Amino acid sequence: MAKVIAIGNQKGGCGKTTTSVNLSAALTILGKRVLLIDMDPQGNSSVTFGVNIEDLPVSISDILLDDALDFKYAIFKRGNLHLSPSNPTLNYAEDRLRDMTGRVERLRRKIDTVRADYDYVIIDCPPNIGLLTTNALVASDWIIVPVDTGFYSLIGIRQFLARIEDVREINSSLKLMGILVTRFSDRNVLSVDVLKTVRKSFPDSVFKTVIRNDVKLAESPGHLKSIFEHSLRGRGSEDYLNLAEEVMACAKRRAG
Amino acid sequence: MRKKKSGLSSAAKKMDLAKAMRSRLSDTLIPPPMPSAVPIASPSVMPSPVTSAIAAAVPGRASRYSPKTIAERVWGNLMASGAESDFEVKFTLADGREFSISGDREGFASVRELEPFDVPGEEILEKYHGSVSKVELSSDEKNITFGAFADFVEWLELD
Repeated sequence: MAKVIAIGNQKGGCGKTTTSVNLSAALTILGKRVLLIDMDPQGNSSVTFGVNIEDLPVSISDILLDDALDFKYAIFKRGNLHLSPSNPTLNYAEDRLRDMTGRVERLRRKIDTVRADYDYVIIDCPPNIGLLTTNALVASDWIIVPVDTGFYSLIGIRQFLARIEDVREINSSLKLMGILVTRFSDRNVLSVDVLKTVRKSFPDSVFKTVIRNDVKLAESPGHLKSIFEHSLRGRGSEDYLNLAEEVMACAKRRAG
Repeated sequence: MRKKKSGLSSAAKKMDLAKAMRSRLSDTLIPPPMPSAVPIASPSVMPSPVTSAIAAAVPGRASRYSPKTIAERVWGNLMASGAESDFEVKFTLADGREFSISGDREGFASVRELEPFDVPGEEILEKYHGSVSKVELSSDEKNITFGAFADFVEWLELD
């Protein structure tokens, strides 16, 4: 039965999509069956995997809004890595969800129908705390919070963690798997300071793996590839492989 | 003298393993089956005009200058500095025309045109960002004026 992990942070540009794409690819490389659900209306995860988001007969929007529509109609497959894409229609779906019953549990109900088919379901959240993010958190067992090593990121962590606490009233099984420090450079004083502060402030909640600054990580989406297909021997590949192993160990430990 | 370790480091071994298993990432993208009927949700959630504008600007990729993207990034930065109120960003073009993007913490964005434009509100920034001469951000807690559009982009970390 799949473990469901949301990748979220209300701040944009902190590495949510990069982490969603490359963690999903790393878990697949390690032999897992993975479903990546793109819940960001920008659709960047979807584009990275080569999906033409301007021409989707069925998207995650339809799946959320239509009770009778089978999830399989919105799942693309690349070997053991499957993807449920999004596009800007998700903005309109979010507006319509407000008036629907069970509006925060719609994604969870749909995931339940395919949960047995996967080892991991990864959800790429949008950069806000609206209904789409809430749906993702309600559907998840764990949340990973990417934090880049800029000044603004540091201040926002506690507010996002507070939101997770709110969602626990609906989904009591939701747990913080870890804060993931991204875009780290040991030659940048601010970067080093932010890492130290995050580890000191959240001593038991920060991944040992740190995603180092790597231009290949920024390039790979432009080539419609994960980091493993774009630069297998680079540090980005090494870091995301380490993260995948840490995620698997964490999921196994807490399940046991 | 300490004997040098032979063989590969654990990191190198791991990457060799990844290389061997790289084939698990198939290059072939298989689309889902088509439903027998059009989803009932589709007609009412068709892409807005901005979607086609985005497609024209960068094929297959959502625009970083869409009102939604701008509003989310602005909110992210305001939230990080402790702000909680709604906000408005007013853009002034070199020819004096003005429009604004308003947003809130839940990611809603709306565009208000203070002067007539030849494209829908959602597409103005996409088309005219090269002509923006001043950006003024206002909210209950924070007011910032950017003398150049590039400064605003840098503040949002859009690049």
